[in-house]
Amino acid sequence: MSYERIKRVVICVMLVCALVVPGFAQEEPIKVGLISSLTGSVSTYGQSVRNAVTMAVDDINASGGILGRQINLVILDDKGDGTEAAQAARRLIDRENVALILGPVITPCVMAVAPIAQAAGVPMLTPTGTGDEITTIGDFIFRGAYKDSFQGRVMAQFAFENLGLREAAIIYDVANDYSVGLRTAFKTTFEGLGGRVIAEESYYTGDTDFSAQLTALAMRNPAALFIPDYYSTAGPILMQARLMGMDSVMLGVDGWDSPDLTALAGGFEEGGYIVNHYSSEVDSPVTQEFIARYTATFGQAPDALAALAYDGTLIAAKALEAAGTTEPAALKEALGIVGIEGVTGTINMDPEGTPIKSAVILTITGGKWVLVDRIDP
Amino acid sequence: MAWQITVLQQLINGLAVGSIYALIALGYTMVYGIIKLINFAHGEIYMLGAYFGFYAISVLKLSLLPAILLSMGAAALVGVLLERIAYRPLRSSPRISVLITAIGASLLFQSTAQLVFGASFKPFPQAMPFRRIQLGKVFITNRQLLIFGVAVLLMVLLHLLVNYTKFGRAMRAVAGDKEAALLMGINVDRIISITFALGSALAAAAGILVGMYYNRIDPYMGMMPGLKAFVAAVLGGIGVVPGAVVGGLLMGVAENLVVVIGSSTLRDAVAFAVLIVVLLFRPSGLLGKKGIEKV
Repeated sequence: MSYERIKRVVICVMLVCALVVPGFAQEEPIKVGLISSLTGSVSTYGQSVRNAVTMAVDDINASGGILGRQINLVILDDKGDGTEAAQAARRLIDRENVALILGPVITPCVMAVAPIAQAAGVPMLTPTGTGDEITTIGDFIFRGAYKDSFQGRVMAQFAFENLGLREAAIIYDVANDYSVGLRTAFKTTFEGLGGRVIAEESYYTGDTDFSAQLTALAMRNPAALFIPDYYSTAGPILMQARLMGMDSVMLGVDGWDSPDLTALAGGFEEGGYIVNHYSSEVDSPVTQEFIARYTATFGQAPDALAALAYDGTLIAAKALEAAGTTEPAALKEALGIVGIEGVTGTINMDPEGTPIKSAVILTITGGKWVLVDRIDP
Repeated sequence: MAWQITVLQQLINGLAVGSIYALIALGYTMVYGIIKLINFAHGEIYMLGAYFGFYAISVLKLSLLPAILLSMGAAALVGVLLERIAYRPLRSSPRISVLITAIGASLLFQSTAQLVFGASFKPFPQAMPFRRIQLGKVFITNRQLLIFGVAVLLMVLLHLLVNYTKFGRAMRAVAGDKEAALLMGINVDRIISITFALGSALAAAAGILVGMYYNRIDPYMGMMPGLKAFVAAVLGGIGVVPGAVVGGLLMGVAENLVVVIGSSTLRDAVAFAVLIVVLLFRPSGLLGKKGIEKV
């Protein structure tokens, strides 16, 4: 090629770019809604989720966005309350016209939002909701976490097989689907294995006095106590149980994972076991890189909620990329088949809505969660 | 043998919760006795008391007893202002207007608390080591002892104040007949203010005790205990000071014994069923005065 021709080609390329690049820049951003519990009884969950989603969206936008479009994140607070979550969903769908909803965080809120998203035909992905019924609402509803029936089964198996426990008691929130679902899954598996649930007591969401129930349980002297609830309730239960002299092995669930647990349990959570979505000790480069960056940005190590929310955002981004459009039907199809290498492990989405993922068992020692076991489905 | 111990242990738990209900119920009953108003914002004063205690201990670094006193003082002030601003201008209005104002005040306190203190559940600073005192087969925690101690002390002081002081006599006079009391030269407005202050201070003490006992406070914590204490006040005979104590203790014990007999799911239901049964047979409450009350 002669010098002149090269010059001509370069000029042509520059001209084309000049025409095309502003076209990309003017492309409208993709609106994605996030419903999170930023305040209320589970506020540490909501803040972790918001932090991680914001971090993931910033990463995506910095690397040029999706389909050449930036992501515009609209964040609403549901205060951990189903009614507020439903209102937030209506606003995201009717006023903001979002292409996709991320969240809500906890099962009762997800159950309030899912029918609205399904009816409106807006794809929705809760990164953290574990209640079994969530994905039965419809084909537009997805999640990034395992189900409660799996989680409850894992804890029962671990208690029976690894800890050698044969008798357990349960205290649960009779007004919360999450707590009730976990109680049933745990009980069925534990008794199926040959163990006995010797006593069960319940309470209502918002109760603070558990002395009556715990006294009744303490009299039976159970080897283990299963407390399937969020940190804000599990904490005071742990404290009140230990103060009553209960020396049972305390068994918990992913809901215990919060920086506030120690303060609410008064330090009495020590020695407890939980099932969780991920462990910070996993030495995959993706996980370690995420932990380092999250800690540097927010001055606090990420909990499982943050890890799930980061992965959930990546799943959504990958699905948008794969669909090549924000058109709901195509996006929904894509969400059912994408797979990512995430912070919480390899995630392959399923058209049913729930990915197949492993769980970890953690124990709290010296105020820190330590990896005990890893269980594949 | 085992079940007797359970009953005894539940009795101790019930008396602890019951003392809290009684402290709150006293405020309901005194205010009702003197101006025939059910102060629905009273549960929120209890909530504010817990938060004042929270900040007194965690920010001002006070120890427990000064924190309780400070919180009682601050809550008393809020109670007085509430009466002054929201209830006094409506004193001659129909009773339903004041009742609705009280519900409005309750919501206002809840939302403001959420805004100022944050909506998250807060652990209460545990300004006391954890101890359990074994009494044979049953035990009592030092937090339960604290509740009994503070509650009994405050109730005795209140009893002395109402029955053996000039202020107490004036208060009873206003409760008996406001106009006549006014004619006798009693400063009715001042008596009403002090009544609100006393009731609010007692509720604030209950708020801190509950924070220490359960280790969790939030802006909505006043709703259920407020409702139960109101029921306790009605149960004992609203307007009758010893009635509030009896009603409160009875509610607490009933709630805890239900768990021994049946299911913990029925706990709240049974507490309210007790109220219905008592009111069927004694419409004016256990210690209430005879006579038909129009509400």
